[in-house]
Amino acid sequence: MSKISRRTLLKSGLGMSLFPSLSVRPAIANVDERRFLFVFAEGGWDQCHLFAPLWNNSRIDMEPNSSLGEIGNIQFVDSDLKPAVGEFLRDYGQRTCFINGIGVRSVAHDTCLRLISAGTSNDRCNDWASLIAAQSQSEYLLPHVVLSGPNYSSDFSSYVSRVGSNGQLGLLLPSDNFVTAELDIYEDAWLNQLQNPSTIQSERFNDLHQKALLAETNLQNIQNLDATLSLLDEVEGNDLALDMQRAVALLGNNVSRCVSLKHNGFQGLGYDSHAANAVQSRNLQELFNELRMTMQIVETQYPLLYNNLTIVVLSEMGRFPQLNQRQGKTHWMHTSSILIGSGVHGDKMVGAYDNDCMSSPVDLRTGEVFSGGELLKPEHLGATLMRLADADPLDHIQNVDPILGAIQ
Amino acid sequence: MYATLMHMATASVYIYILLGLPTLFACTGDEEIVEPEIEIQEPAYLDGEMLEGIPLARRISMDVRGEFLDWDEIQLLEADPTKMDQLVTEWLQEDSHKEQLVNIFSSMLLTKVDEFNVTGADFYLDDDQEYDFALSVGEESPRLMAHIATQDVSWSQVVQADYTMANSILTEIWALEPVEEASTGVDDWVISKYTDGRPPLGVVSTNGIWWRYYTTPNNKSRARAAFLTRLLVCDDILSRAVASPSSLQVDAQNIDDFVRTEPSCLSCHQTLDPLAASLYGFWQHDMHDVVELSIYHPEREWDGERDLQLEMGWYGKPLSAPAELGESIASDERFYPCATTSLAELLWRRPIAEIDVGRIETISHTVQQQGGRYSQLIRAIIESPEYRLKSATAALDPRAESGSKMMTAHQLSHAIHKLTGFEWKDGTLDLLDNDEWGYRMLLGGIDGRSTTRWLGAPSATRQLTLKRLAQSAAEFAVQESIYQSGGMLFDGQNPTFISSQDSEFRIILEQWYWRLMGRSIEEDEFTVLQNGFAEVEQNFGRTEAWQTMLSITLRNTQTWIY
Repeated sequence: MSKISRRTLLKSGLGMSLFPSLSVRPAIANVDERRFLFVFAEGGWDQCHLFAPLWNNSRIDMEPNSSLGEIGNIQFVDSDLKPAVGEFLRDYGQRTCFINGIGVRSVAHDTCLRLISAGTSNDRCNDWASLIAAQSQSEYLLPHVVLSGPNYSSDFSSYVSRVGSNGQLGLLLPSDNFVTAELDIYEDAWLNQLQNPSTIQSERFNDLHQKALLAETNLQNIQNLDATLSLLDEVEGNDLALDMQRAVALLGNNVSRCVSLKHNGFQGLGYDSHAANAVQSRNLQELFNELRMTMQIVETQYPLLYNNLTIVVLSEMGRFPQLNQRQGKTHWMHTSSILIGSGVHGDKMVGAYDNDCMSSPVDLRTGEVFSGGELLKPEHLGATLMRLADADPLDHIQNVDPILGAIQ
Repeated sequence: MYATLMHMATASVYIYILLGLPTLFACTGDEEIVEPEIEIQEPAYLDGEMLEGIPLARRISMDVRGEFLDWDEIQLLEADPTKMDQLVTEWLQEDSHKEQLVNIFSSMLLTKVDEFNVTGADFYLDDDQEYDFALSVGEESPRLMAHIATQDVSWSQVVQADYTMANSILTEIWALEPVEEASTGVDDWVISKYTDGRPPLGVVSTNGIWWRYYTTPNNKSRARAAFLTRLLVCDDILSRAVASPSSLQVDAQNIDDFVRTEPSCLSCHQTLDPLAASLYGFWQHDMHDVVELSIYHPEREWDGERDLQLEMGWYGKPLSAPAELGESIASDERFYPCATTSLAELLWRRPIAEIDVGRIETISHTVQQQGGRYSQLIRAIIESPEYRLKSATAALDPRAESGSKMMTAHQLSHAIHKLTGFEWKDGTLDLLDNDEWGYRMLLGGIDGRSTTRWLGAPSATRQLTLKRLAQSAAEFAVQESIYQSGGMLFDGQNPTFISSQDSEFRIILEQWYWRLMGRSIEEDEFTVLQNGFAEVEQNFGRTEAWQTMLSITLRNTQTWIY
């Protein structure tokens, strides 16, 4: 096979005939637009290990050997097993808000995941990240990248990209694994010229067709992300550290507006601690350590991103306040989330758990516990994120008020 | 228009169909027979353009067997359009139809996950059998359902059959014996019976689902019960809102008493707990123990009643033994409507809307009356206007979404394999049927855990994966045609002997377009292809020109939207 360079190709008749139709262009990202990193502590974290300082209550089993930690206005359950929580709050507490006592009205993982991610139990739903990505004012090559964990994008799946559980997207990016780079570029151009259906098929066809064209227009640029994403690189540290690094690369290089990832817990043991609940401390230590490292990297290496990145840390449920016979805890329908960074009312705690470890009503304007307030639901969180993202709250959260006390 | 259609749906007249149940209403004298009346809502009218002829055959072929049309089939239909029915009958008998059903049932069961609580190594299988191990376990239940769906038996057998399907790996690791000839390999699925005394409950008695939906000492089989009600009668108990208890006046040891008495828990647990109690024969004391997981435990059948302190039952109907569960499910009036709804959702490729109720009821009732075979259900759905829709007159009609569908990851994999001979494999690992190392989810498939629905619209990663699949398949097909002296895509000729100016060039492209897109090639398309081919040939070579042209034809939206 005769090999020609891209320069030669462009100069040749071949290039002249087809390349103008290939509208390869970089993403046009507004650097001021807020970006979002969603971190899922999947399995259900124990509020009694972090968010709910409820000692002196015989019906509640707190983290062993724990005490009240206070940094600024944020109170938390502190212990020697997870010093990273205090370290993180000392460094970034001024940019952090704990939202406590979100009622998820279910105790089933799948259902709670949909509720905390999308505010509905219907499995045809759109999670917050997909909604935000779909309503971006800027154009991103990969508006929402799911590095790991759940994703619900019934109506906005064209905005969502996956990389594979072992980063196998990295094998598909370099054209050299399949055809020569020159032929690969030519093929995209040829296809682009061909895909112009002369007959109107149906509204649905046109919708799918346009979305495919949009994706294919950017394929060459996406393939060039190989070095940025380093999907196949082996790095030291845990999976969370690796995913966080990839997320920052995607967000910091204006490739994506939203990135979602999952924390599998300390040594992959997860948060669903029906036995040996003590793993929660280890999980939180790892989680906060990586959050702190990530913030440091962003602060030092991506100053623009540091000003417009919001990190959302979620877990689909909490844990029943009492230990069972196996020193574990079952599911609980009250949980918390953490907002960090841009637009967040930092050094702040919104809501609280009452003496039964259940959600307390909240004044949404101030975030303070208020007997005449509202019980927090995932929909409130969603409306808050939409406000932060300047996105329209669609469907079931259209008439839900955001938690103004959690944002600036 | 949308409002009008919705009005038609809600205000449509009810027709009354008499149930013929002579055995239930046998009489001895002249007394008047009073038969029960079932209210069936009349299907709502669907105003729009319908597919017909070869485009319709193309859609049915893709859904029924996951394949593009053969050139012979196109010629047959062109010569005599009335042959469609005969072709569909033949397709329903093909192995590819069964494979397509396995894919459909897998999307309902979500059992094809990459990992279970035990590995092949726990059964002393070789390292290179791990993929086959997970695949075998994950496919047991959908293969049983696919087998029953293609037999001349009632669909109720899906919860009453006394056998399962097994391949060589499952026969080796579980207490199974083949009913006739033994399986000869991983791909050879044969009817087999468990020898551990489990009750004849069809798919409910398969290890495949209980390895995926395991239970814990605290959960007490309730998650398993919730899975069954969702799968078999479309009652998604887990999606119900749970009210907070009035207070925390409960300790962890008495939580079972609590859910039996607390009003906020009762609405779900009065259904879940009796059903969960009937599933204790599948109980495993250790979810990571291969024996505990693999063997049915008849001696534990009554442990559920003791553990949950109630009698086993199905929606208020007591069961005297777990073996009665299948009959109770099959006689539940929601069983056939649920089967209809689940399949229609996948074949119409959209959520079932209120306006569909009449169609679902009518199909369900008719199929049940005619013997309840799943093949009848498939036929009824693909004959419905909702399935044959090309475009709806009212843009806001929720049924308009069925007008064009995107090929699923499985359909792309299977159809391109049948078309070109290419299988994307790494050793024995099917890269399009695996997520740990493969590209199933990237191509729009489901992993059974974090993604549970087929991709609904093209994404960047889906288009990139499709591109790489198309490039690989095109290279394989062209090389095979060169070295095997012609192939089915090149009219039996070696493509390196065909230039863009040869008459054969047009013939081949014409065949590709008919097979892949169900239509003739337009003149402007031919010109783009002919010119592009000449340019690639000049700069890269003729082989590369054929490969690239086949790749872009596979990637063309009109190929994978059907």
